[in-house]
Amino acid sequence: MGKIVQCELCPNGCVLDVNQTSRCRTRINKDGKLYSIVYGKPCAVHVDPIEKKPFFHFLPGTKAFSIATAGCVLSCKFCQNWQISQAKPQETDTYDLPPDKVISYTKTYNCKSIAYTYTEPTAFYEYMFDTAVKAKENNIKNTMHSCGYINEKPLRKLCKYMDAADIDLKAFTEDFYDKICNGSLKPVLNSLVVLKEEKIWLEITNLVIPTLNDDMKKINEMCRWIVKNLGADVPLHFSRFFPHYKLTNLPPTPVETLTNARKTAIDAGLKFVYIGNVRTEAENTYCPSCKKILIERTGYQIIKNNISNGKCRFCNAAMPGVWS
Amino acid sequence: MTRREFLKAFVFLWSFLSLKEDSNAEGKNEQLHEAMFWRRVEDG
Repeated sequence: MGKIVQCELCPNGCVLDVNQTSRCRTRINKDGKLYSIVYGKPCAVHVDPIEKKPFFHFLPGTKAFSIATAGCVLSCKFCQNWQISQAKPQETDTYDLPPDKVISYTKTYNCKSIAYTYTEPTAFYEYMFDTAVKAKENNIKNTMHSCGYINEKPLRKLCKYMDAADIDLKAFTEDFYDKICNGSLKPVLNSLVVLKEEKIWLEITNLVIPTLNDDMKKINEMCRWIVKNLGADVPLHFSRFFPHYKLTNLPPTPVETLTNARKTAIDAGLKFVYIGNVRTEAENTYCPSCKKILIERTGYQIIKNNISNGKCRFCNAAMPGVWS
Repeated sequence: MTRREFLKAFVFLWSFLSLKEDSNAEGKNEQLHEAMFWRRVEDG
């Protein structure tokens, strides 16, 4: 055995010679051992409404202590946080925030949960994992917004401490993942199934990009896959694209496209379909039984919450989610 | 510019660049934490 190592965290499976850094830029081979170089060094630290992640069925109206380090396992051409996700850790300003301090700040700011978000939490797996363990000990919930591009073994280990996950299902074709994200779709679908099996509260986000993934046939196929493999109760967020990073040549997604996507998803059987990044009535939660507004939102703010003890206040139908 | 002024400017520039180099070096001083989920592979 020499000093070459292979990272087994994500499907990239980087094989690294001494002093080489992984594709996610956060792991390095030092003398035949693999190290994380971002542990306890977040470059983004904020207190956000949980709705911003977005989680619409998980502790609505609460605050999430949100952290991210530099780095990502994918390199999406449309990334909205590319300044940190595609940066090397050395290129970012960081805070000294080991897991204990994250817990302490979470309590200080009266947050019910910690969100591993903004960039790709898989790229700071060890930091997320250790923080999540401590959070659990302190009765704080753990959530992540991830692309789901992670191997099954580390994901299942993480699931013991994770309470909720919002997964970006970026498109429903291998071609899109290959050409636009430099990744592949299959591992993401596997992660979604694993999260469901592990009983983690799951929501899905799909950024609809004009001409690249806005074909209603594929959206229909994606929604039917979700219903069949994850269930009709999984909330789906269609998010409006704005030109960013390497896709500044495309226009923002027309609202009509998002409305069509939502209709397609509802027709496919999904019960909770939202539109994000634009103000419409599709940011409210409606009761699938009596059709009344259960949670009225404007942006990330809750105007009215008609869910009581996990049930619709009007017709008493049980609502899927984590409400307290 | 006199010889004295030139020397002063040179010394100032030199100290500035040295300082900048030091601060970059500090930024690159990685804090290492052993990773999970990896394995050694055979050479070649």
